[in-house]
Amino acid sequence: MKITKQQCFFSANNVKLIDYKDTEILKKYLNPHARMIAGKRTGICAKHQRQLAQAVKRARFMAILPFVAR
Amino acid sequence: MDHNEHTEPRVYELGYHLVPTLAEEQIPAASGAVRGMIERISKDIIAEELPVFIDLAYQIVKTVEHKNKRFDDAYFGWIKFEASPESIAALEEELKKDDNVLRYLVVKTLREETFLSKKFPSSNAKARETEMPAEAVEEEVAESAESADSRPDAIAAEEAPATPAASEDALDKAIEELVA
Repeated sequence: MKITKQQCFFSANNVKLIDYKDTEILKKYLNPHARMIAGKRTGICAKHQRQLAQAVKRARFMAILPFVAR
Repeated sequence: MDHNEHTEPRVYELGYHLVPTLAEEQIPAASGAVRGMIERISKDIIAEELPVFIDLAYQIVKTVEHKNKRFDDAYFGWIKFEASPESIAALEEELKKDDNVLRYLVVKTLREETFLSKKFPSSNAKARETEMPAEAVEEEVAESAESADSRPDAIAAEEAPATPAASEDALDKAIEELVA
């Protein structure tokens, strides 16, 4: 599949820090099993992909997002 | 964790779960206790959200008096404050002792609002999705034009104004959906 070029969602919205409480946003980057989607597929820049990963892991610890979903 | 490498005050955020066994009326007192812990170490509380009842994504087990207690829901609240790094260790000690606190998390954050969904409701995703196919089609057109025609600039110029208009339409639709 050809990955279409698009600007990083977080850079486009000038996001400085991704909040772990922001489940609406975080859920967009999880697959139905609640696994994180790879940076290659999300089209997010490396900086924000790292922040996103951090935020998702924090949200999981706080039981806001699941570790696994069936 | 080593709290000694940095000594300047920084902005932190404490997120915490209170046990669901508390009644709704007891919540202000319990969250007040947590706030009290922070007021002891911090002069500046930047933002706060009082605990709200939420379903947890998975079961949390907490050991109370040598017994495992299982919780499927909790009251989640958070406080953003400024404090020196050394005082965070003291805060964590206190939080561990508090039986009403099911789980907590202290993170470094920024003074300004970091919550995105209030500023950009989920319509943003929809708008982007509707935008994307248009772009893809356009790219293909441009490519085929390049191979067939020796002057792709003219076609590209024709196509260019179409994109903002299309995305604007999509955005308008998304906004209308939200309002309705």
